[in-house]
Amino acid sequence: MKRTLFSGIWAFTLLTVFATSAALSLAVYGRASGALREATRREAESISGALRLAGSAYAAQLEKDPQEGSVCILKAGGGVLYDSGGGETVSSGGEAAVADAWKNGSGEAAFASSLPGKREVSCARRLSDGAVLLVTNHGNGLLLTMVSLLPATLPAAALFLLLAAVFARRKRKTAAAAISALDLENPLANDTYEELSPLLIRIQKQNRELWEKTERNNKRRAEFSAVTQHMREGMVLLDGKACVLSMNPSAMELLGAPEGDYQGKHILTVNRDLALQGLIRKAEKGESCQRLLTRDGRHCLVMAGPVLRKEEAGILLLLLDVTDKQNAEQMRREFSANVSHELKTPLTSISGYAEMIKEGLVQPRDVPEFAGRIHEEAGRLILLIEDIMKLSRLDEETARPPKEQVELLSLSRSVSERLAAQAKDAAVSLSVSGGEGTVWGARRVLEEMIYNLVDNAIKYNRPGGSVQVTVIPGEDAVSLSVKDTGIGIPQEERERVFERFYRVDKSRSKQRGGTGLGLSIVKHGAAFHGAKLEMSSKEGVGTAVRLRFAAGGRKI
Amino acid sequence: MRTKFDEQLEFLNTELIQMGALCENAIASAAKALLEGDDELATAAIALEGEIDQKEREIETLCLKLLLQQQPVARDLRTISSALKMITDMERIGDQAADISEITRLQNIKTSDSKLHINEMALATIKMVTDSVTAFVNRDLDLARSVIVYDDVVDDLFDKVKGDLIQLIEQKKSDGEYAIDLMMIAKYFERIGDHATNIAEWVEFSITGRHKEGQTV
Repeated sequence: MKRTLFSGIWAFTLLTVFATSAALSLAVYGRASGALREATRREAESISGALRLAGSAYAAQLEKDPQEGSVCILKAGGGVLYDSGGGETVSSGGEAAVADAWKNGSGEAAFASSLPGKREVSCARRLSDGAVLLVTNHGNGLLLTMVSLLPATLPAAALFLLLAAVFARRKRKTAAAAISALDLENPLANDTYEELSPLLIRIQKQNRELWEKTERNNKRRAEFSAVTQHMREGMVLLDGKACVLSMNPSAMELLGAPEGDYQGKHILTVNRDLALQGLIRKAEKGESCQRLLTRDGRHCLVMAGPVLRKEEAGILLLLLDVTDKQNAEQMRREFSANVSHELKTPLTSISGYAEMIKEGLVQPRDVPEFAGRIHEEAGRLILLIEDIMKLSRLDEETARPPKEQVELLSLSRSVSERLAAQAKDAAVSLSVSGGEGTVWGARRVLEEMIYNLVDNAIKYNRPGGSVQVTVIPGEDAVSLSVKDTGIGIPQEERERVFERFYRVDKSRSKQRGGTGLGLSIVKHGAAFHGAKLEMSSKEGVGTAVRLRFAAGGRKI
Repeated sequence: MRTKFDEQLEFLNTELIQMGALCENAIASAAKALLEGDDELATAAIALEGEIDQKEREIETLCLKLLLQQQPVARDLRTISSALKMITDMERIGDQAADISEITRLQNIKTSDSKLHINEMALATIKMVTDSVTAFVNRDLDLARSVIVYDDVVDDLFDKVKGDLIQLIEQKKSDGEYAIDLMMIAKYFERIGDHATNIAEWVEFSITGRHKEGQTV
């Protein structure tokens, strides 16, 4: 920029100076050559006048510096009468002037001199004696004129060049300052040289394109993160070096990473589980794989997949919380084991008794007793299967019993009447109290629930104890509680008693009867009615189970 | 040049985390094997020792290479020298976890004795190792200092285990082999706690340039 600007300005200045001096030289030269011609003519006049007066004697006195010019007199018949230059001076131009003088009495001619760069002006006059006087003067040629002017033009050129340099420098600085002072964010708001406006317009256009592109990217990223942020599954994207590109909150929670920004950090700083490391190493080799991570009792299924595209490599990790699934699996396994055990025990007895009778090992008078036992065990089996069927009915989403308005107090009364005999046998007093409370539910299921609760309360009671059923209708809830003075449930078992076949009494002794499914039916029934199930218990003092239903309405 | 060095330092960092994770796993396996009598886990802990030794050699080579080729100064030098010290402690943790597992495999210790303080001690030691590695990973000065303080808890527990065993012997409730084995294990746990403390101290050093509140290096 600087160089081209300077050389341009300098070349232009030099050209100007040169052209000016050339024009000047031309003018000076024209004027000087006119003056020279006039002077030569005058000289010739004066010499010819002098020669007329003084005669040829004067000729001998004539002298002229050969640098300036020459004077010579040519005789009429030819031959030189006098020559200041010594006979060599009559040049071709001179001859032309002399020839004119012979013919017309006078002649003039101008021509290039034999001296380098000079011009000659000759003037010839016929004298009275018939001889011809030739005066020649030398003057500067055009080039010499120009050279002679150099002492004036050179300093001028130097001065101009200097001025041009200073000017260019100043301009360059102001232009640079103007450009650097531009506000490129709002190019069109600038008040500057109009020469810059095409540039500014282009910048404005590019700015807008850039802004649109960024905006589009931002929007896309926001959409992406909005989707991933609210995913229940954990998602982690890793680059080729296993550093985090993106990680959603679920992933952070599942991996147990404390709050923080993990962008660009190695996955090891998030979680350094050896199983996870193994997964990532496999994925880095381009293998998809999955593994179960266990952390603080939570199970998390991690799937790792390599993302390969030409040179770029990355890993996608998907994390699923499978704790509930694992627990459900565990429960199902336990249930199957339990149900087969529960079904097998009575059948073994039945089969045993039947075999004894078949083999004739039983005295005929004992047969009724054995048959009674078989009957009893078969009854247990039927009871058990009935309970299992009830449970699976509640499990089935489709086969839900129809709902209606049910009054709990009268229902409790009818249930307790059914169990009165059993209570009497166990020496437990049974009472129902409270007000009428209507709920929206399935009568059969509700009856089953109350029955099971009261049945348990009687079974796990002590002789002389009591069972109290209370119905309390409230503004927006009806609560039903069954309180006993029984053996109670230890703190750590309180959650598990609602599981199928779970019994606090590990020996599973049959003396108390029951299938181990009672509370499970209560729990499912409560869930079916959207009721809240609470249990408070103290070992050796008693247990209270409370059900809270939404009052009367058709809510659910 | 600088970026290459940075990359190598990052690599050193991940290698150290990996080694830390191996140690955590070794001690957790050894403790679980001891408390639950799981022979498989004991074998796993012993197998991890070889892996930890291998890792130590790799990191050592890497550190020496960095020292020779890059001639680091200031913080980089601190990072590398503390890494060199840390791997020694980690390697010891691996060894002692393996030693615990070897004693466990002799089957002199029955899992039913879990009421003793050794249980608590194992958990406290695991916590120390995990916390010291976490402090390193997150450059967490506070956590590193809490590990250093927590060493007293493990030391107290060691005394309690010792007391338990003395009582057992006095009451002639246990044979000598059992008591001595358990004593050895308690000592190993106590040593592992010390090594975890060392790691935490080196973490502190690599962050602040001060080691054990001493001189600035």
